[in-house]
Amino acid sequence: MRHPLIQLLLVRLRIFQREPEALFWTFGFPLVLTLVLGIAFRPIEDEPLPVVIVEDAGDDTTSARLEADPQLELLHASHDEARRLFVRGRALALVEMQPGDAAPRVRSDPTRPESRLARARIERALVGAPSAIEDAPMREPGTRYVDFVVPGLVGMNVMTVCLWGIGWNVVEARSRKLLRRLAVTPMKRGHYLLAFLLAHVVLVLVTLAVILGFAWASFGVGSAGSALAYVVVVILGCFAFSAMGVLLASRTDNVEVLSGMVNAASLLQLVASGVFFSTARFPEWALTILRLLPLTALVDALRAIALEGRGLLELSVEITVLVGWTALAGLVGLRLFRWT
Amino acid sequence: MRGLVKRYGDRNVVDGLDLDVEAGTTVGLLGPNGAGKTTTLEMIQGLTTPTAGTVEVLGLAQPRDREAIARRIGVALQDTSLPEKLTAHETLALFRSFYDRGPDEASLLSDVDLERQAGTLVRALSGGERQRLALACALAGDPELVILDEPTTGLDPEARHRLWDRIEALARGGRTVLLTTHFMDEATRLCDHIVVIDRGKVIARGTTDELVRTHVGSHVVELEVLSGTLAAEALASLTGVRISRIVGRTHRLGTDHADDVLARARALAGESEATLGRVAIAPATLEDVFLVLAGRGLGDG
Repeated sequence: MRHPLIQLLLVRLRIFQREPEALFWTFGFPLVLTLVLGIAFRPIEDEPLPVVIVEDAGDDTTSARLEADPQLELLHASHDEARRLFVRGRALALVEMQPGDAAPRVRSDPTRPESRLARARIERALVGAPSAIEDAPMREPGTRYVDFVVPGLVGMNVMTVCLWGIGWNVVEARSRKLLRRLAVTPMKRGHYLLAFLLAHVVLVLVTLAVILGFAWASFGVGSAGSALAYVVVVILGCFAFSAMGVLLASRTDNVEVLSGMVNAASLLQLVASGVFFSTARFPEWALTILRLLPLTALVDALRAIALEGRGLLELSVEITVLVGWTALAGLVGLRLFRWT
Repeated sequence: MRGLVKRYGDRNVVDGLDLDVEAGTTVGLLGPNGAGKTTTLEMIQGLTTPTAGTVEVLGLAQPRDREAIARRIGVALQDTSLPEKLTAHETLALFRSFYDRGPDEASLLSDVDLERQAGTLVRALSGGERQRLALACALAGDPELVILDEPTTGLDPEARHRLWDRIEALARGGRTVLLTTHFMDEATRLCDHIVVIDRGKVIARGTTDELVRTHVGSHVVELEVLSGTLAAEALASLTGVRISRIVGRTHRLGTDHADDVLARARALAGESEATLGRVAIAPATLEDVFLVLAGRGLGDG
C-alpha cells in the first residue's frame, strides 16, 4: 500500500469523495436529468401527434377522418388559436379547409421532423377522400422553429446572467471577506444588492439587443407584439432570477457549493421550461408544476408577445409567477443573507 | 465592554471580558490564535452579537446603534481582499462614498504613501501596498476610532515598518487605535496599553514596562544545557528568580538581578555536573510576559 501509484490513486478518490459538488454532478445530476427527460420523452407506443384543424372548416368529413385516426390527436380551434397552437409547438400541423371541393390545406414546418411526420399522417388519414391535401409549408417569420427558440434563448440568457453573475460575485466577496469589510461601513446593505440587480438589468438589456439584433439580421426573427412589453417581461425575469441568485448565494462562502446549486437550478429549468422544445410533451401533472418555474413563465410570456402579439394585460399568470418568485426568493434570500 | 460573552456551541470563545479603551490612546489586544481577539473585535464592530454583556463604542451601544457607530469608526480587517479589478483610487472612491465626511481620495492616498499607485489595480499591488490601501479605506470616513486586526501579518520587515509609521501618525493625530497583533515588537512600538487575552479572558493589562516588570522582571537569563541535567525546579528556587521556564534545551529565568542569578545558576550547573553552552542576559520582552501568562507560545492556539 506504500506504492506511490496507490497513494496517488487514493488521494484522487479521497478528494473526489470529500467534494460534495463532484458527487452531485457525477451521481445525482445524471439521475435527475434522466428522470426529467424520461418524463418528457417517455415512450408511448403509437403516440398520437397533436394537429389542429380550423373549426370553421365546414367539412365534417375531413374532420371525422382525422378524428378517427388513432395516431392523430385532433384539436379544434379558431383560426387565430390554431395558429397560436402551431407556433407555440402545441400542435405539429395545422389543417385549413378551402372553399368548394378544393383540397384541405395542411400547414407544417418542413424543418421539424415531427411536423413532417404529422403532415404524413394527415395525408394517410385522408387517403380516399374526395380530394388530396394541399401542402402549404409554414415559412413566414413567426412560424418557424427559429422564431420559437429565440425567446427561449433570451430567457435562458436572463437566467444564466443573473444566477451566475449575482451568485458568483456575492459568494466570492463573502469568501474573500469583502462582504464583512463592507458590513462594517455605514453602507446601506440594500444598496449593495440593489447595485447588483441594476447592473444585471443593464447587462441583460445589452445582451438582449445583441441576441435579437443578430436573430433579426440573420433569420428575420421579429416580434408580433410590442417591444416595450418584451423589455418589461425581460426586466421582470431579471428581477426574479436576481432574487433567486441572492437566495442561492445567501449563506455559503464556497464557490463550488454555489456552482452546484446554480447548475442544478438552471440546468433543470433549461430542460423542463421549454427553452428548446415545447413543454407539451410533459404530462399534465408535470406541466402544472413546470408553469410555476420562473423560466417557464419568462419564456412563455416572451413567446406570447413575440409569436402571438399579446400584451402585458394578457400575461397575468406569467407576470404573477415572476413577481411571486422575486418576492419569495428575495425575502427569504435577504432573511438568510450572511455578511460574515 | 462589560461582561462580554460569545458562546459557540458549548464553548465560550469570549468569556466575561471587560475592556476600556481610553480616547486618544493606542491599545493592543494580544493573545494566541483562538484567544478570542477577532471575535471581540467583531462584537465591537457589530458583526457579531454578544451572547451576554454590553459593548459601548464612542458612547453608543452595539449592536443597537450599529450604523451610527459605523460612521465614526474605521476598520482594517485581517485578510480582507479588496476588489482586485479596481484601482487604488477607485477603491477609495467606493469606500469614501459610504461616509458623509472625510478626506478626498488624493489625500487618503497621500496619507498612506500610495500617490504613485493611484491608477494601479489592487491585484498588482504588493502585500504592503494592499495593507496600506486597506488602512486608507479605514480612514475614508475620518474615524475617531480605528480598528486594525493584525495589520502587518504576512508583510516583509520593510513593509511592516512603513505601515507602523502610518499607524503612529494616526495616534499622533489624536485618533484612538485598537489593534490586534501576534508581534510583540509591533505591540511594544505602537501600543500605549496592552491587554493580553487568553481563552476569552483578559489575563493581564498595562503598559509594556508594567507588564514586563510585573510578570517577568527586567531581564531574562538564558542557559543552554549541552549535556547532563539542570533541574528546572532547582533553578526556579534560586534567590532572585521570578519565573523559570524551559524552551527545548534552554532555560529562561526572569529576574531583576540578572548578574546574581547567572552566577548562582552557573554554580548550580557545576554542582549538577551539567555542561552549559550559550549563556546570555537579555532585556525581558512582551513575549516573555505572554509565555509566562498563557503558558504557551504565541500562535500555538
